[in-house]
Amino acid sequence: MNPNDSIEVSAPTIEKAINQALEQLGAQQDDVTIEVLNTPRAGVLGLGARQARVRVTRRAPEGASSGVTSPPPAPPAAPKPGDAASVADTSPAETTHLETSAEEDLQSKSEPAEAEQESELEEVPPGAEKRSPQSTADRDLVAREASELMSRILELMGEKATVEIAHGGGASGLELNIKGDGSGLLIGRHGQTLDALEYVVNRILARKLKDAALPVSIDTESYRARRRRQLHRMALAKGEQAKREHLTVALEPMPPRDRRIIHLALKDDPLVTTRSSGEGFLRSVEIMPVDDRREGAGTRGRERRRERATEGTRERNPPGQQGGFKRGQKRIV
Amino acid sequence: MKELVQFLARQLVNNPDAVEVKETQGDTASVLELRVAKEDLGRVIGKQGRTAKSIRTILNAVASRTNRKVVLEIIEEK
Repeated sequence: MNPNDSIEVSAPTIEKAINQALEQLGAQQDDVTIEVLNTPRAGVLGLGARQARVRVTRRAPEGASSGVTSPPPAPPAAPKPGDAASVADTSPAETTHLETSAEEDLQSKSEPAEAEQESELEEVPPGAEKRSPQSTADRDLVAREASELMSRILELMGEKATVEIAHGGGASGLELNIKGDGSGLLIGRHGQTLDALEYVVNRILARKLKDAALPVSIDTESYRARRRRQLHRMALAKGEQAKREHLTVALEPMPPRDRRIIHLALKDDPLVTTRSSGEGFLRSVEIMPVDDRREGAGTRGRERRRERATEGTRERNPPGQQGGFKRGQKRIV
Repeated sequence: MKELVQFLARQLVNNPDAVEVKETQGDTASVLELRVAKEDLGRVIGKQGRTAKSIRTILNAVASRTNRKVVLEIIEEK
């Protein structure tokens, strides 16, 4: 078989990956064999996210003729522009990780990807060029809507404050900065008022702008930055404590944004691992000294969840039917 | 305060005309009764009550300046 008639493509969903691959091969779905290499996974807080990955191979007979009209380019170069354009918002780093094979240890592989995200963005000019004109317009629209909305809310709250758009609020988001009287009223205990404002603003924008909406983060008096530094310091201190006492240290429950800071603060420390436990607003981070664990870092929570899922299926299917059921489901796409 | 709730609710729902807020002032507390179209109830309450909780948090921040308590009730019509 001609090796040029087989390509691998990553995209957020299996369907998208297949469509992209077919486009690149210039083939119809009936003419190819599709292998799903990786199923997509949303991940938690941007950790452990994974894209769908498929290998599409053209079947022998029609290969020669249509291969001429659209010669399949070298795999590493080809998927980049298309992928980056359509996918960049979700996880740009993954699209360029073409060599990534089946991932056993999710956390260890996806965390480097996470760290590289920003530099990867700059390294992919074709995608960046395609994206920027449209997304700049989008950003301006969202920024205008968001700051208008925020000003109106502040006015109704009786706050004498102005809203400015802070630039460089990350790759996919937008940051609003409220300049107020400095009373801390807008921050609230542990930033809960700020979080509430942010949540409501995002809800309203999502309803108004539909798909064009971008995540907006709201800050005042550099509270977010201060909180980030404080959490980072606390994470390191608690990490030391866990190592010193050889005990799992449980932190107080925190919102996802804060937990993420803890996870990231300790991810490069080989002597401790972190994981989140609990549900909803009671979810909190646990820091464990490394000799405490039996398997790969951070995979336990995930595995447990998977176990729970299979238990559920087992309950639904009577034991006698299970084998036949499974065999019937086995299929190549 | 009433205007704030009214504004936020109107921004969140599909039927802004159906949004109604009634304010009852007590000695130390105010009660705000929010009514929206039936199909919009979920939009002002939110997943796990998160939107309602956020609106209440914002209200409490405003109320903390006046030393009065504010209670937001979301009324479900039968």
